[in-house]
Amino acid sequence: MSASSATAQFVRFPFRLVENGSRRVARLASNPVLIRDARALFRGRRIIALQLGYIVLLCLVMGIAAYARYASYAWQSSVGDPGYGRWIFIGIMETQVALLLLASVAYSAGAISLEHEKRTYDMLAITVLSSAEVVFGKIASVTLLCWMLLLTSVPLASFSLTLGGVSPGEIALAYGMLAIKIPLWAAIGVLVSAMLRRSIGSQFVAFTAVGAEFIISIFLSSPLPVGGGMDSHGIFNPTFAAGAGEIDFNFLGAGIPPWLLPIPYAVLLTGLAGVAAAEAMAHHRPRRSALLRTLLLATTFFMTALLAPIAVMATGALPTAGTRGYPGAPGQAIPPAVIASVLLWIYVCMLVPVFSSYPPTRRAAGPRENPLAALLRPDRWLLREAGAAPGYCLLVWVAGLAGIFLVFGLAGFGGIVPTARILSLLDLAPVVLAVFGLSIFAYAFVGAACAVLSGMRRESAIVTALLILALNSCALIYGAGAGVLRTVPRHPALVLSSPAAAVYAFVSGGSRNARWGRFGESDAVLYGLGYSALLIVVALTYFLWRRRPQPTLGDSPGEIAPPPLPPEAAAADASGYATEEQ
Amino acid sequence: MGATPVIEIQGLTKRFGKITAVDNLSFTVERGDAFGFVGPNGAGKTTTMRMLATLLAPDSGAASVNGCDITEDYEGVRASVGYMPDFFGVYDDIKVWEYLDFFAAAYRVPRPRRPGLISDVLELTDLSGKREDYVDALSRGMKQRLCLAKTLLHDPEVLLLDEPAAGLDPRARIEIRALLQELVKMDKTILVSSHILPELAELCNKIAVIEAGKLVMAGSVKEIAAGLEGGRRLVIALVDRLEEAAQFLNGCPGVVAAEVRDEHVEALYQGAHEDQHKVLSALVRAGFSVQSFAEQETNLESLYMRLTEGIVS
Repeated sequence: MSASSATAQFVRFPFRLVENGSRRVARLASNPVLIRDARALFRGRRIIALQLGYIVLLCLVMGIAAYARYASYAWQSSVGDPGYGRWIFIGIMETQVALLLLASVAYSAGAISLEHEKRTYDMLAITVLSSAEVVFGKIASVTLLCWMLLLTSVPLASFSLTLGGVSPGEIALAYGMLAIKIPLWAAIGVLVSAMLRRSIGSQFVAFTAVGAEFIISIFLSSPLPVGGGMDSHGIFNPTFAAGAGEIDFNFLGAGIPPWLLPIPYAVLLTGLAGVAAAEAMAHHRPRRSALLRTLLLATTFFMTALLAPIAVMATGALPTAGTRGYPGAPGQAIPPAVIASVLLWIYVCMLVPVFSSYPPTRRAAGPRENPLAALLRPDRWLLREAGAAPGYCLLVWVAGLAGIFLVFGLAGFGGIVPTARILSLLDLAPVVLAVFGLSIFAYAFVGAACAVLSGMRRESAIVTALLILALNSCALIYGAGAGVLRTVPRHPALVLSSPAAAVYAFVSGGSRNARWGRFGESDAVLYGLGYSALLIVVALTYFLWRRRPQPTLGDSPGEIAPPPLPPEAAAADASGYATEEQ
Repeated sequence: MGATPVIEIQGLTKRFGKITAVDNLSFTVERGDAFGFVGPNGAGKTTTMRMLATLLAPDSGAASVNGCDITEDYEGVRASVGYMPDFFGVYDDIKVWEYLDFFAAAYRVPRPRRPGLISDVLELTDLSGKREDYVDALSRGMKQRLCLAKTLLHDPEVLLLDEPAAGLDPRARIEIRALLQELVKMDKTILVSSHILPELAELCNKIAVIEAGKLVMAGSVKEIAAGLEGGRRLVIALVDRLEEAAQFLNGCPGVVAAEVRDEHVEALYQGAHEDQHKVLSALVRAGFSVQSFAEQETNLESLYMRLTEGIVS
């Protein structure tokens, strides 16, 4: 490829991205399954009856809530009580959670199993629609129905505004959080429906699964440190966060808006359930490799989404890190920068091997050619194949950073994050790019080496890479415990996060603080660079060892020669005639 | 008829637990063929069709439709195949045109083309008047025709029709048969399974008989009959001297056996088809009063009964 055409392609890339993106969105909106299900669901008197029943039920709950409050307080005092409106609002939201959970699961749990029972499945399956498109259509139609029900209750919920105790922002947040959770419930329902053929069974299992998720999500966030004396139960569960009025907690001491956290959680699980459902529909049971790939990609998204707010908050917290104390100190919250370092480390460890093992396995896989033999051919030098991986990883990393800047740039415009913090994030960018770029490069080689070690099977490559990096972590932890890095005993995150810790130490100016002891700023940087360089050297040595000349037919006289022909065939060959008889 | 194979099946096998539903099945359907797939219940017809439609994966063997391997290139197969299952349901709360619009969209027919296409297939299946009716309110025969209309939406080259006339009243069966004959004229390649053998005989130029998952015989009806009987059966009506004529025919070249049956003589002829007239000439020259001389029409039902043993019925 010439330099000019490469430049032209590079320039065209964003336009192509936008064009493809808009085409994909249009295709999602015109999903045939979505349109057909929507036509069936939103038609006739049934939908009006459903809406009416929904509103009547909410009115009943609202009436009961009002009466219960009235019965427990004197009317005169409750009229002026701001808690009165909140009481009603909470009643409405809790009821809506229950009703929408029931509706979303009831409609989605039979989405595919009913197709089997009604004998419509074969005709759907033989179309050229992919299973992912079918699953998306099913989830989207149920989600639309539930969102519509949710919308019908807005005037009712707004009534609590007139009584006080609830702000319009709180109502909007509560509705938003509930709206985010609906696709998740629908996706779980569709997943179960794709795995079981009987609708009765799928309904039962789906309700059990959604119920389990509902309960688990309440306790999932219990260990997380939440400031402000608030309960953390609402982080992943909108009922507690919105319905119970816990929407002003302070996650990780970083002042993160509570509405930000359920988004990655719900999107992660919805994506996982959706992909598993598509796999179950296509192969009758989810394939391990597809699930693993989805899990890793979803984790990537989750980490990016989680990192974005933390990274921004960290920029505000970094200059004062020294005054805040250290993790584990009595009465001190964990500095956001430490958490950011740990999360970044997990991000790098999980993401990079995946992507670095991806290009070689993708290019080499195929039934027509032995992938290992193809890689060892001189025209497909292994290093060139593996060399694509770090670039790919860096691209992903830069895209992630760009995403962070975009999100918080918008947040800055919205006044959520002060402009000074956004600007300080810009200061941080070169350091992060430099040190993490090197780490990514090192990890990429590990991933590529694993791809070769595993015989170019992607699933094995990913697992091998993760195992190696897990062992690496264990070694570091052991090193800390054995006193190898005893100079920083109070900072386990530094030990854990390896190169990421170097960034943290560098940007937080650790050497100027007595706490850091001998492990100063320059040591941290050296440590990070040395660690990365070691990985690169090991990986390169391995590649060069693998790259030793391999015998190939006809490459040169010194390599494998064809076996000698029998005398009569040799004579025929020499004469230029080779008849069939011969 | 063209000679390009459109459906090629080689050693196809499918097992469900210990039961072998399809056992090393091999046959070829050429472009433009109307190929009847005959066999008793449980013979493996539906399983074979479902494998060809990519709804089931074979355990072993290979098959291709329109050049696309059913296991490797299932998208290519689906794009070129229209499949009508033996039993099917319809979606509730959806109108006839919406039903067809859904399947047209599912086969990626561009939106601007869909209204015209839907009108065409509705006209072809004589359902134009039911356009705005709800699908679940249609009669059984209409649903069959609607399913056929759906099958034709993406203009597939190959139609896999599994018992398309099952459970229909005589009028609906005749309508479906007429429709299939129309499709044969449109040069579609049709693989159709049916238990209604006379109708299959009218429609198909070739048949395959399958029993217990194994292919018993495949070819044109006449070829199969000739293969079974070892020749053509001639039916000769005479005014008198039936016994004498039978003896005379036994001495004619090409005639293997001749006997008197009811009011006529039946002779099994193994000679060349172009020499068949010489038998008639010989009879006339010998002074027999020949009233009619004809090749017996092959009866698919009698062939079917002779070929199959009722193993799985």
